[in-house]
Amino acid sequence: MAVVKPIYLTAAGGIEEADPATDTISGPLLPSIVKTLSIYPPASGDNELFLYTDRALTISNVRAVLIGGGTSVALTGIYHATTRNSGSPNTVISSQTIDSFSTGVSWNTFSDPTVPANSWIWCVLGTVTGAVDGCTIAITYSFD
Amino acid sequence: MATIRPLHIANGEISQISDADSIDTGLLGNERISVAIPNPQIGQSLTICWHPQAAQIWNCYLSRRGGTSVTVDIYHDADRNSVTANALFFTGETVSTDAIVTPTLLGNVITGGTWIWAVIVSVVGSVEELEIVLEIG
Repeated sequence: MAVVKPIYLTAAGGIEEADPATDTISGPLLPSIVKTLSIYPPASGDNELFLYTDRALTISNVRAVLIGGGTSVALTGIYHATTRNSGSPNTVISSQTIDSFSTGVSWNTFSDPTVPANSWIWCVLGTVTGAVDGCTIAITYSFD
Repeated sequence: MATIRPLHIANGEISQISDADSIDTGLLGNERISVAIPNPQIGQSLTICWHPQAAQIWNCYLSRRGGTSVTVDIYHDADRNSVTANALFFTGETVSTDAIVTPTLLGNVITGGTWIWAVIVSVVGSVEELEIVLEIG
């Protein structure tokens, strides 16, 4: 087994070995990445960070589940912006209800799932109904 | 700096990998997921991750800071609150060292669409933090 460097066709038609220090592989070839965030216990107004990315990415799925008791948690939204506390961030998804205690609720239709480089991605929770022990939200994304 | 498109061999010829292709996941290496649980409490059930693809948990590394020991179980199942979830260890793993503990894994094959979580079974002393690292691929 070896750690290999791919080769690629240059614009001039030649073949070169990729340089890990400077080159990146085209995004659609890479597997999806999942970032999971858990909040114990969730509370209305919770504003929690998923990640900061220095590369552009696209979110393809959001899945959420509750743990323990209670009834539901409102997902006010998942947002992205280059400023963490932006008053007008871009909305990935908004106004959803998390009420699954088993396999989770899943969404794959979004308002703005394309996240530019150098962006923060975070979520904001709304009303929590009942004594919910925990709320887990997982975003699946791939680099562009 | 460039965004490159790797090459592969198809029918004896070298060609560029297209967007419709995917790379054999075995070439991508294992993913490591780390969580730190501050001030673990008996009965806590803490989600480690959601894993959309079938995979294996190759290694689990545990450590703790402060106190005497903490015993943890790790489960995986499509149902996050299942009471018959698959256990990763034969029995709860007790971590009583600041060094790395590598428990023997029991049910380490996970199906696509699986939640993985930890349950704190017991805590002795004032444990400040439990660290869990899973190597999945």
